[in-house]
Amino acid sequence: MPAIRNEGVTAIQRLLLVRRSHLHAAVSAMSRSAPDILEVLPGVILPNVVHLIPTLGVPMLAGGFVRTEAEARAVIAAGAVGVTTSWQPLWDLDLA
Amino acid sequence: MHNGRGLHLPKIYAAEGGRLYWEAPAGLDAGVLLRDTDLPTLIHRANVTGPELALDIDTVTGLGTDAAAVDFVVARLGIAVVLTRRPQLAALVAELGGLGLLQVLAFDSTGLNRALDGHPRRPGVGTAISPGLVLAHLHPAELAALPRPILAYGFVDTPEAARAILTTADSVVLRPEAASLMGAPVSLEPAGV
Repeated sequence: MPAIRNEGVTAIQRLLLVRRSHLHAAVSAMSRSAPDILEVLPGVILPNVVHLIPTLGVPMLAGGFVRTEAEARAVIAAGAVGVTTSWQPLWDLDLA
Repeated sequence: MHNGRGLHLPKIYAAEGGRLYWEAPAGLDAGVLLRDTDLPTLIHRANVTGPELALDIDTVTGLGTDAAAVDFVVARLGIAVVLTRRPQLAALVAELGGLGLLQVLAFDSTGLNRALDGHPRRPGVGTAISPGLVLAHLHPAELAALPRPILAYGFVDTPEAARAILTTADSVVLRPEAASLMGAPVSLEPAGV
């Protein structure tokens, strides 16, 4: 992360949700690296697991299998500031 | 369920490191998934009477992840259901008469398709999809592309979530305390083989 910041670039670190027993180590690593933004994958399950993710004090994105407006809104309601998706019908969606 | 080769795949797996000695509630079609363990514990558990064992072979300290390790686990220890991230090892489990479950990490649709490109797609090799909770969000075509049997592995934390996931998966991994809460037999139609 320091190398990225030294280049004046915003650092986004991905939190890959594999299984619960891996989460603590992943979050600890993220705390140490202190990214500018956290991206949770697969984002579609964020509403189910957000209670397990400690607040890291950085904005959170969510991506992966978010393909409906309802899923996008659920992810935002769970605390993400934005959705990353290749699903084009969602690109013009106003989530404000 | 049976995978068509005479192997039984329990509906429920309780995930533990081998020292908990989890016991299935009476009537529950359940086994134990050993993961994040070490070789002495694995050998000990394989010789203890209890629920059927499956093994996440990539997470055993002291055990290699090669053909010799698979042969040891399947042929010597008698563990018939083995999870691995390595397609060639999953295929080898099947060759030895076991059920190999290729662990597929499903973080997004592009990555899922890429991961499935390496699936052996042969009898005796199914799919362990992680996180299991994502199964509820896959499109029918994506579900159809997953070689069965399907094990849902990761972030399925409650009996309610497990029952929902079992409408698409053949088996689901739970933490032991959640698996114990399943209590009554899971009486769902098989999701297919």
